[in-house]
Amino acid sequence: MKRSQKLVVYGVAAVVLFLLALMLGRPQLVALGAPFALVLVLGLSQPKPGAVSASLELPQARAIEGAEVEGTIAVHAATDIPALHLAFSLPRGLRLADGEPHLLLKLAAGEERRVPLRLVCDSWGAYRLGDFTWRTGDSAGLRVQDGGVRGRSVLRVYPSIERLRSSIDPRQTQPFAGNRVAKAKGEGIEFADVRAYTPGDRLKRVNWRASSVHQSLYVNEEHPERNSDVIVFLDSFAEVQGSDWGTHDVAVRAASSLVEHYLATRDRVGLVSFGGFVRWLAPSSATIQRYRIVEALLETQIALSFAWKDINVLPRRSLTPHALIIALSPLLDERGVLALADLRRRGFDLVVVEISPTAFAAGGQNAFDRLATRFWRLERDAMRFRLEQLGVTAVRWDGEAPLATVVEGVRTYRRFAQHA
Amino acid sequence: MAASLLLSLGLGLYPAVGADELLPVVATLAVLGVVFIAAALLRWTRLVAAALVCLGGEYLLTEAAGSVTTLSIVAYAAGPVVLCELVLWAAQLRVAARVDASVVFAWLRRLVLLAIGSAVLALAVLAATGLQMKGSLTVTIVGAVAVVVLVALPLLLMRGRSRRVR
Repeated sequence: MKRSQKLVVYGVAAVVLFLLALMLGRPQLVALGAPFALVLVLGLSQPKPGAVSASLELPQARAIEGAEVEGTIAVHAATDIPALHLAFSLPRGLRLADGEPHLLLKLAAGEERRVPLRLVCDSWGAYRLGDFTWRTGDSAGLRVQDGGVRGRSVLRVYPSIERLRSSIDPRQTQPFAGNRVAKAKGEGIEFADVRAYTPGDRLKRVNWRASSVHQSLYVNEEHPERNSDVIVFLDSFAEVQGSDWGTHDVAVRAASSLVEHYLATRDRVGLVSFGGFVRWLAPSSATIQRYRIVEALLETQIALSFAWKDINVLPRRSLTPHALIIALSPLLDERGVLALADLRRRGFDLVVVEISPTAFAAGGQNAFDRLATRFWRLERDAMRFRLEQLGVTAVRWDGEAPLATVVEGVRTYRRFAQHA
Repeated sequence: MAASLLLSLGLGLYPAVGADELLPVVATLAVLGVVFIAAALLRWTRLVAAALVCLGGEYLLTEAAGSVTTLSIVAYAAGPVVLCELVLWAAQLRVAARVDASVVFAWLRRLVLLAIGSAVLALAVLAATGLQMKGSLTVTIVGAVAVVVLVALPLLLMRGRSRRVR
């Protein structure tokens, strides 16, 4: 418990006015000072302010980016609280739909007040909520008591997903059943070729029309339906942050959309978060993998690290052979760029989606700044060129255009590169 | 905030109206008082004490220069404390907050009671000044004791409370 500013001001006012009245012999000054003394006497004779407990109750622990979550602030007081100033802080990425994060309440002894609130989830992330600071005062506001409550509620906001109608097709498939037509021939639905009958071929595969023309047995060959392994490679060494969002936010949203799409098409999807912290999830399919990846994405963060890292730190099973690797990177850190080049040299089918940080670089105020920006952009172009020379499909994305346009761009590039 | 500024203007202008020779000094104090109140409302709450000094000094000069009516003394006794309450309330709500209606009603009730109580107290003080006592020494002793009691009472209350807290 401590003295409030009011107590100090009133005390000084009363004492000064009384002393002046005595020294100058003017009783009118006593009339001026007496109300202050009255407030002090009456206020200090009241019970001291008590403590309160507060908590935030959330009916749901998960939400999608952009959604609204309803919650309740529960405040309990053991003693009479004539004035309670309760303030709660919200992490960046969450805001109140309406109202203010400050409450001024009056509570009776033993009363529990429940205040509803609505939160808007502006950005994805795992948020710990329910941090409160409070100040209670006596009825005259002369003495105050401060306190705080550390929150325990956790709200996981999943990134919003863009539904993709087409995907970047992997060059090679895996031996497991899936929705992709394999290049190899085998048992399937898609017609591939006709060949001469060999002992052991099933009768139902005989192409009777071709057999009658050639007067010997011919059988149909098909492309089998297989799945493929897709690994989303998230470069989390560095990011460029704007006022509302940064390159890492965009990368996580894109990763989430890609994971959703590939899992829906029965592909096996894995995740590698390569940065200050290295995390990985081996490729797998099914719904549970979606949740595993989304949870891992929520926990990815840009951690400043000067330790040298290359792809040797990754376990072998996290990068399965013939997998398509889609790298989402701002291409800001040399370690990330070299790791991508290394992956390509090891024969992985690699697509680099460059989350362009140039949108955040204004270009500078003076000539030197503008020159530096030009050099920086030239360096980036050179880096991109080096990747393309290695046979990497590299596309630039500003994060504002739909991801579908990027996917379509990559598809077109790969189709052209295949025929060139 | 508006009420605080209006009241401070009223408290500042009222003594300045009757001051002829002391007008420059009184006007300066009035302006300073209003400026301090504005500053206290905006950010520096403690400046309300400086504003009280200015407004009180202004009144003291006017009162010393000429005669003031009982009504003005009563009004001036209630004015500063109400002004302080308004400024401190505005400071409490400097950040936008959802305020419980019961808190506002309780505060308004206290404010009205405080204004009435201050006026009554001022009348009582003025009535006490009219009492005829034998000898100036007695008057001085009674006055000094009254002041000591008024100052000591809050201190004793505070000390008693803090001991109980320990």
